[in-house]
Amino acid sequence: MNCNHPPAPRPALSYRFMQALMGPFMKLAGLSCRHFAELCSAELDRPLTSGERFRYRFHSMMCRVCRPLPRQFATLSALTHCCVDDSAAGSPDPKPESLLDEAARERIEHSLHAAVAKGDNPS
Amino acid sequence: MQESERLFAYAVSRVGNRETAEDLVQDVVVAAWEKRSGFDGRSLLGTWLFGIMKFKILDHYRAQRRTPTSLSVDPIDNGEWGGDPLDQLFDAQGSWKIDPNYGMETFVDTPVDEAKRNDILSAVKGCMDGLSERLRLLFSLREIDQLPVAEAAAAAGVTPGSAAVLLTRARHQLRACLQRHHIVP
Repeated sequence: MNCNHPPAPRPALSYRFMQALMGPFMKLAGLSCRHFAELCSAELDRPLTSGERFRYRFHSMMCRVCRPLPRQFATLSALTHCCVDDSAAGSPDPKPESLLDEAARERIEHSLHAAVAKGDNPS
Repeated sequence: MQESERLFAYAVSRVGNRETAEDLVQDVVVAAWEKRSGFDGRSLLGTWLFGIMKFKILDHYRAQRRTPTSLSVDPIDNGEWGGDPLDQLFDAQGSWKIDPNYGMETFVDTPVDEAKRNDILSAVKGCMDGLSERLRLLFSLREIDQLPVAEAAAAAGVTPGSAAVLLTRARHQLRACLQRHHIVP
């Protein structure tokens, strides 16, 4: 995809200040933003352990910047799920590049006729 | 045959290859004829056919896994990012390098039905296309087909441990891609 938008800015100064103070300890305790981001993905695939759940909740409580992340992933999941299904399956008029060509169409019709004939005459 | 066009478009979007998609449509049409007694008319014909197509796609990936292909070479790949996307989003002590919420309000606050009508859905598709083949396959098996991680990993030809890492990378790469490319505050 082409990008014409400016890149996302750095986090707010207050966040950077807090991270400068607490970051090393948070990392040591497995409570960093990166750990939280990994847990946000992990919880979509498996139940978190009690230790992970505690770290997840603690970080979510402490960090305003990370708090919206689970919702972003949930939205991403919902949109991904509908995007492939709807783009092709639900679309009344598939794009020209997604149309069967004549040879393929004939081949499919031929195999269907063969299956019909086989069904009519099982021997 | 009108349904076969939609089946084909769907198959192309999933497997990314016209020849394979044609074979899949052929398999679905034949399977539908052979299993026609199983169609009780309670659902739409198209819905029933798409159900068969989803199974055929999974069978295709499972069969492909048994065949040595480029998909079974590298257990962990990083796609277009050229590295772990998390390394680009977080610094050495695990703090965000960028504001992860910048411009994401639009994305999160737009209901799915509305997203279908505007650019958000095409941005999601575009970002999914930016994933490496393996990431896209694993992510779509997990998120679109909603397979358990172990099954998605098996079909994608990776270990369940690698799958967890790859899924995390895929989600973060997609999230960051949407933030970078589409969502404007």
